[in-house]
Amino acid sequence: MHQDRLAGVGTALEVGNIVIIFPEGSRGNPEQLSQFKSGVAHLARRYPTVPVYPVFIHGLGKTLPKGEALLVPFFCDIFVGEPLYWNGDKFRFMAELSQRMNNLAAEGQFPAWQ
Amino acid sequence: MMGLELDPAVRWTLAGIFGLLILASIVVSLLNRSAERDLSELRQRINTWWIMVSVFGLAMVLSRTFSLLFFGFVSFLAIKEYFSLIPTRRADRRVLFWAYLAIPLQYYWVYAEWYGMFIIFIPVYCFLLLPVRMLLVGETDGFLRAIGTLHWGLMTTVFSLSHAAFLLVLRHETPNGILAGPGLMLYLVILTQLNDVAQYLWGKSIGCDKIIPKVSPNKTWGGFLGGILTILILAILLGTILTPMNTWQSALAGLIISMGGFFGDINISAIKRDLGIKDTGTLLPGHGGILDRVDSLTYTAPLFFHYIYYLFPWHTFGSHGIL
Repeated sequence: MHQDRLAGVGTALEVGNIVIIFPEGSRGNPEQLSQFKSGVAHLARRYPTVPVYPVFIHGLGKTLPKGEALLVPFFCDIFVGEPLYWNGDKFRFMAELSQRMNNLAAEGQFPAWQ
Repeated sequence: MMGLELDPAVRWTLAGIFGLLILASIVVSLLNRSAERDLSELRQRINTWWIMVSVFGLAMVLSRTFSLLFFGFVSFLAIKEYFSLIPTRRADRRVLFWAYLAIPLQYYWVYAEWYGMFIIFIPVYCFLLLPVRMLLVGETDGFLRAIGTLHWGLMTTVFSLSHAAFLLVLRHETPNGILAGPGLMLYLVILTQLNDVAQYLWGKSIGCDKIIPKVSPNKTWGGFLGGILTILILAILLGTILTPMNTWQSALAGLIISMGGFFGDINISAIKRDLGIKDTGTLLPGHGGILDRVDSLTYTAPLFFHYIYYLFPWHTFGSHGIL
């Protein structure tokens, strides 16, 4: 079942398309990173030569948090990191991805929002 | 009627700005060939000037409505940048939304030439009603800070800037003919922006002691006084072409714009210091954010507006009664 879900993504990667994955799986609490799902690690293992670019987005949660219907304009920031590749182990890969994402988030300077 | 409502003096002045930009571009490319210094930021700054002046000029030439839309959009970007920079409360999302709605209303009063409403809408109605909206949310933790920063932002980015737009709907009959608002608005915007440029250039070339190193390390007495002198001369020259003011009135307008521009600039600088940031954004390459560009205008627009408003009996386009 799990294999089938990623099959379409695999064909896209094989023809050289760009695939965008939101590893959090859903919009959780706004402006809080939640635990990443490991689908991206399965893909990286299957396609070890495909670069995985961590992209951190800030501000979308303020603009339109989960459960709200009213969009309030804010400037959003997007941070694009250096690519990483499959490193041989699912947990190590996910740990590296989380680390990279946290580093990207630390580059930004965001005002308090509670 | 495209562009036909603009006086020849206004059109020539607009052409003059483009001439100045061409000159700036030539000077920088010549400097680039000879100097070993890195001029990429200066080049970027001038390229952004080209875009800003083109959009602004196009809006002016198209019609008064487009010019009003232009200023409304600048207010929108400025307050959006402000809301993105300051700490806000999640509970206040809807209050911020109401604050955004003040922009089309405020510029509609200008469009409708309704001075009475234009001048009290934000200082009175928004000032009283936004706290009510915030009270309905019921979150009292940080209430004063939240409503205080919200109102300050509305006053600075919408109320103040909309004064530049209100100049556009003014009309004054002199013995020599009718003088209209676009000239006044252009006078204000040109002098305000050139004041920034002049203070920067004089500051770089003669410098001297810093005025307020704690707030803005780049502001020197040389830049400040050189800027005032430059703007004084330009204000007198342009005053006779674009406005009904005489020499002395123009000189005082120059002084108001130059000093007001300085304080508007360091006012935003103080906020940046407070928030621990260098630029208010990245929207305008070489300049920073939109607030970095309109900081001076937030002071000069209302100051110049009320000065000229006091000097002459003004009419609007739609009505013949004095405002």
